[in-house]
Amino acid sequence: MNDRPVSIALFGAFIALSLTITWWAARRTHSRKEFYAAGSALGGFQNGLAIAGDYTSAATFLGVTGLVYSSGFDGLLYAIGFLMAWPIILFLIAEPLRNLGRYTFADVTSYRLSAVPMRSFAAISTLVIVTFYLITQMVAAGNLVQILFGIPYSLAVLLVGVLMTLYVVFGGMLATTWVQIIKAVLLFSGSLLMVTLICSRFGFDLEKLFRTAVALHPQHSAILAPGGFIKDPFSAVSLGIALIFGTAGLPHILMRFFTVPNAQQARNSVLVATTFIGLFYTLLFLLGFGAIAVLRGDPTTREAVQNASGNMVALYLANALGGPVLFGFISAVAFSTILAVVSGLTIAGASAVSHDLYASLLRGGKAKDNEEVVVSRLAACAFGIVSVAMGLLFEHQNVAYLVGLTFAVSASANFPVLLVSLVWKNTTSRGALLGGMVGLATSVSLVVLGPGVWTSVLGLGRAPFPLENPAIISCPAALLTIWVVSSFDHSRTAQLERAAFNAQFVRGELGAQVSVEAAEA
Amino acid sequence: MTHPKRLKGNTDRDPQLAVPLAPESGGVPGKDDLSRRLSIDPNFKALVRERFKLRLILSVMVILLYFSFMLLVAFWPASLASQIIPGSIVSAGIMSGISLIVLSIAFTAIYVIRANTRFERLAQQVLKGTQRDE
Repeated sequence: MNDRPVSIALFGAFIALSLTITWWAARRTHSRKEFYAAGSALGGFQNGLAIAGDYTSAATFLGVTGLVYSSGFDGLLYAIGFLMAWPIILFLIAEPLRNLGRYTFADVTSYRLSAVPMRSFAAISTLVIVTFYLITQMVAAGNLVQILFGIPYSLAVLLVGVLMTLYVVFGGMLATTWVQIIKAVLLFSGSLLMVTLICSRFGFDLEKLFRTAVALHPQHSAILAPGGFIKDPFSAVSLGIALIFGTAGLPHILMRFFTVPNAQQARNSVLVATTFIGLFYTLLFLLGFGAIAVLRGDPTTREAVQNASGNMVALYLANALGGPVLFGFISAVAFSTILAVVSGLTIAGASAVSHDLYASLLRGGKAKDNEEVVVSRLAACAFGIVSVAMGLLFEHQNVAYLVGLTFAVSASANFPVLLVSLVWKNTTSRGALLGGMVGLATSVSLVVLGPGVWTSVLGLGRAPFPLENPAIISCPAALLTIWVVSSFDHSRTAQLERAAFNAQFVRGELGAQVSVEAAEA
Repeated sequence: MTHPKRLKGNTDRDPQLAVPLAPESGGVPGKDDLSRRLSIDPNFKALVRERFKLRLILSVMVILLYFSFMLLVAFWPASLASQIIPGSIVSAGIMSGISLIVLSIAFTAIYVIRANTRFERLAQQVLKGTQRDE
């Protein structure tokens, strides 16, 4: 099935292209504004594409296609949750985020609330989320590269680690952005190509495609309806909360709102991103059903897919549709997908260390521009090393629970603190800090106590906490804590923070120009 | 791709950047005056009210649609298995799923278009108003 030379050639071409871009970006990345936010000069369309590229991971592309192949309809459930998060981000936080912050979301939470608690909290939650997410990506990358290109796992992980470090250290946000844009274009056009090829096999008659799929799949028309993926209402709501609100707290996603100059471009970015992501998920759904119709019809491919992991469905499909060339192309695309996401994560992690911890806390905001950039580059190197180490350590571990965990932490720690500090006048630093820590601790411990870790990883039998995803408990717990602690906070600091709400609100609604005019008053 | 002229030296003189209001920075630096003026500015009040209303309505709709769909999946999956279009094998579930995707994009577009036209106009009027007062 594999035509290694084609795959490796395309894989090499992508690496060469991305390194050329990194070199180009490096010549334009000197100040911290350029390093963190690509000079805040991106257009809405570019940024929207980059967001789409940052957000859609290999796990989505390969995983959802594989899920639709085996269970049909259930694959759509993930897609809907991941997509509907985006209008929520737009309506609840996108514009004030752009208007109140510079490089990281901690700029926004520490706008009127005290820097020490807010910055340290943001740094901790960012590092937790970024690290866990990186582990899943490195393990997936190692496995994928090993299968596709025949490179040993450890070498594959090392390669991914080195490349992502190079992109971020030398090219900063500008290189990261362009890697994500290229990945988005490759991924969408590759998927569109495959869907077109599938449709042409069925004379562009979607009815025929679905009928064939239903006929060939062992569960027949059951694949058109929900399977056992969502077992009960609590799991459904919990997963929903994690996906819908978790996206709004992911640090690498929030960082993408500072790469545009103003709120208008931030809005446009979200529209572009939402459109591309929505179209992409629709394509994935068609790919999954197409895979059923194409692969299950041929006994050889059906056998082969059965013996391989679910993630390989998309690749087998590529081979069936366009032979080794298409297989090679889609393999290279899958690889680029991983690099785009890990780069985004690395720069988010590095900025938490250099901007939130070093420049804001340690140096009290007095760090010089190039000093901060140096620290950021060093932090990115550290992330590279740690990611490779983690990838090697977790090679044989089941890391599926980490994805759910990152979204749960994001929905329970970052999102509540960010939202409440923006919309509720009485929020105080004490309340926000304690609420955030409660959200963080609850989500992590409940995941450990849940079936994903307790039963599947630790093998300790029935899990004390019944749900795989803790968001239904941890998110409200965080919100409740913020409310209670803030309401009882009568300190002098709290009073000042409440007094500052109106000014924050005005700035959040109107943007930077307000400060300039007021300053001139 | 356009790229701004690289600013030499300290990029912090960029007017886009927020002046922190946190207590340790000395609290609110004389902005109460501006907030008070704006709170009686009819354009600002209109902007805030209309924007809040649109955001609220659209968010509630998205959340309701999403969670009712998920609860339908959990409680009444058979309803999604039915074929609602005669002659088409595509189930109600698939139709709903695709509709939700289309609606999400549509809601996003509605807000962005409204914000880029009406809300942006109002905001510009408010800002012109603050300039005039000086």
